[in-house]
Amino acid sequence: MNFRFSILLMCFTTISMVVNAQSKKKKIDLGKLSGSIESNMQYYNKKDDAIGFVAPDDRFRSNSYLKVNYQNKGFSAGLQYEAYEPNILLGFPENLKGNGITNYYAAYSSKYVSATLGHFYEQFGSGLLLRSWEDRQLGINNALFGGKLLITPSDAVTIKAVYGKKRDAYTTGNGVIWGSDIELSLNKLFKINEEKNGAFTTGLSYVGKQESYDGTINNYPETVHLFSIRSSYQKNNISLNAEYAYRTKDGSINDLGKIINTNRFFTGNVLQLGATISGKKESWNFMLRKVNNFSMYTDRQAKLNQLILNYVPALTKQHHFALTNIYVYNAQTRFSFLPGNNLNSAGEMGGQVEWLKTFPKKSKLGGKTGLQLGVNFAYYAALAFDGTDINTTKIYNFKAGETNFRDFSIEVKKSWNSKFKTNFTYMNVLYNQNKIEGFGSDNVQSNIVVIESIIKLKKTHSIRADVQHIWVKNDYRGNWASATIEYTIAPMFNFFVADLYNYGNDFKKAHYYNVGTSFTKGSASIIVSYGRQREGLMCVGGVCRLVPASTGLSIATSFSF
Amino acid sequence: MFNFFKNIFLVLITILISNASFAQDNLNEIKLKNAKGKVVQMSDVMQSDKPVIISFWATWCSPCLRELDAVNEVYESWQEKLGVTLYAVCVDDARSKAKAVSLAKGKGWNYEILYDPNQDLKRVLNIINIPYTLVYHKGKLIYKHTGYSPGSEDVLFEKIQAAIL
Repeated sequence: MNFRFSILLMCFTTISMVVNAQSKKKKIDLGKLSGSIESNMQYYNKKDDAIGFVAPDDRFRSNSYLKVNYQNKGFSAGLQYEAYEPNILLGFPENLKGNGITNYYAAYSSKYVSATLGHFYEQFGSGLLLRSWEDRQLGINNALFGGKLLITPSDAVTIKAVYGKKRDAYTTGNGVIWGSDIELSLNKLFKINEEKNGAFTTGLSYVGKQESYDGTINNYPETVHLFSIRSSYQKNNISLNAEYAYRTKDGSINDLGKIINTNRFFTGNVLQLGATISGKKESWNFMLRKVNNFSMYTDRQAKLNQLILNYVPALTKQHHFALTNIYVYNAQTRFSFLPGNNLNSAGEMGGQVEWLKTFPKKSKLGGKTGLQLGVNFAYYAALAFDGTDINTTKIYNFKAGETNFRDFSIEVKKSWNSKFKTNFTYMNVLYNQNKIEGFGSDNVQSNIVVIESIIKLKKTHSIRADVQHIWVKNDYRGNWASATIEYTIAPMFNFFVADLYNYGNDFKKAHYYNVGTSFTKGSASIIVSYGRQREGLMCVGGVCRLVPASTGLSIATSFSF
Repeated sequence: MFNFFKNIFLVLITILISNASFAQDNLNEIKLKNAKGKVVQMSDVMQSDKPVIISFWATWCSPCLRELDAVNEVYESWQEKLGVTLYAVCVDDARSKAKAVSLAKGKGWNYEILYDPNQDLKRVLNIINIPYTLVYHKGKLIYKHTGYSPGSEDVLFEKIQAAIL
């Protein structure tokens, strides 16, 4: 593979040199070569008893990505090379270990038509039926490998058609995917006046999935069809949207990834409604969603984040702080069976409402400098069912069962003057750990307080500090406290020290400390840090990524050209 | 590992050799939509006679929100002094689009908000992490920066001022 790669690079070099020479001579545009490099390296400590960490075989590990694109007018081509050497970072899919060219494509686009061959990313609507995407922090790259056609005869109509298999590490899954999506702007199509009557759009999608089955269950569905319809309406300060999706009958898989031996097959569906109402510096956002057995893999026996077909994420507020990210909701969108094939979840239903208001300067609450207030509430329950035997269970399509998650939060942001800002957050969370993680209490209760302040010392020098605390009931880990201090010299330098202290239990108290620095210039950035990391999303120096639990030295660097 | 670094080295050489001659960002047919579904051709945006800031953000990215809040406080005066327009390109997945609309309204942002739910523009520009800010003037890239820390907005202002005067 490395040999092949070197050859490819030499080709690129030659092309670029030729192009260079010619474009200088004739001053014609012969295209553009661009790309990016990212490498995340870790050197793990041998062991760390305090957090129960023992180093893996290869203590130095790295995940690296090189992407190169060539573009010339309507034509483009590119590849991505990934290396997980000498081994992959902890917490990422093991089958990625090694290195190779993982993605490549060639595409042509003109005003009305664009066609792609090779690996591509796509989603229909909000992704309820189909989404292929890359998220390096999560180790997800399920690009479709095949062909895509995009036709835009006018601004009123967009038609997409795709065919292919999804990428799985260095190969593809077995399941074949095909589908089409059409999106219409009704205003343009029927000449409806937008100012007067509002903006209407609608979309229709179809996706088919086929995977052969050679087991002993009669009439097992090898081909499954998915359909969806979505509409949105916007006028002045109100916008409404609705989407419904349906799947034909499919077999069921238990929580260990095994096919359940039954002749009863189930359909699936999703109903999603949303509304946004906004005034001057004020907005309300409402969302309701019901999901019945509707998250799918392209291959029946895929697990975790491998070969995901569609996208049905949790619809809750995404919080930013270390302690607000301990109990995060993970949507329960599929049938969940205990080994022995007892149904214990059939999906979820619930919703979220969020209110945001900026009180302007010189108003009663705003004071001299204004004030920003945000309130959020989310509630999700399991979809109810009677009985647990798969052959006789009754599943209700519109009835709430036990609570999965509840989240209430208030956030107040205030600039006291041009040099001093504060941010206060309070959260109350109810978390069904047993349902979401498969163990623990079904009633973990927590209260969180975060106080953050930013002090501008000089024009480009500033300090950001926060203190956080979480009071926890019904989780053996108990309470946590946390503090961070960050000193930045804009726009290039950043130094930080942080500690999360899990003190609320008698047998495994631990400090998750971290110290580091980052440097950014143009598109290049490097972050060096040492410490213990609890799994979660970490943002420092303005760059965010998800870090798995470990102790050691880490270096993250990225650059684009 | 050695091979990987050797390869990276080769690429860097390639870039060094070739970079000078390659044309400005050719964004081809990349079209993004605003909240009302209006189509915006990105290559047109970048050709503008006035400076254009393109800032990539998402509802879950707290430094992005801090950056856009900070710029919003001085945006009116920037518009007067520099004639600048800021396009805030939201790379949230489609589920958060409605949230992004209401967030921008609730914060009173006066930017042009565009949506890149399939991350097509982000990918063409080879952006790895957000926040990521680019400034174009008459089709030329005059400044780019990744990350945000308080005061970065002042640096951004100075860079644009220096480039257009």
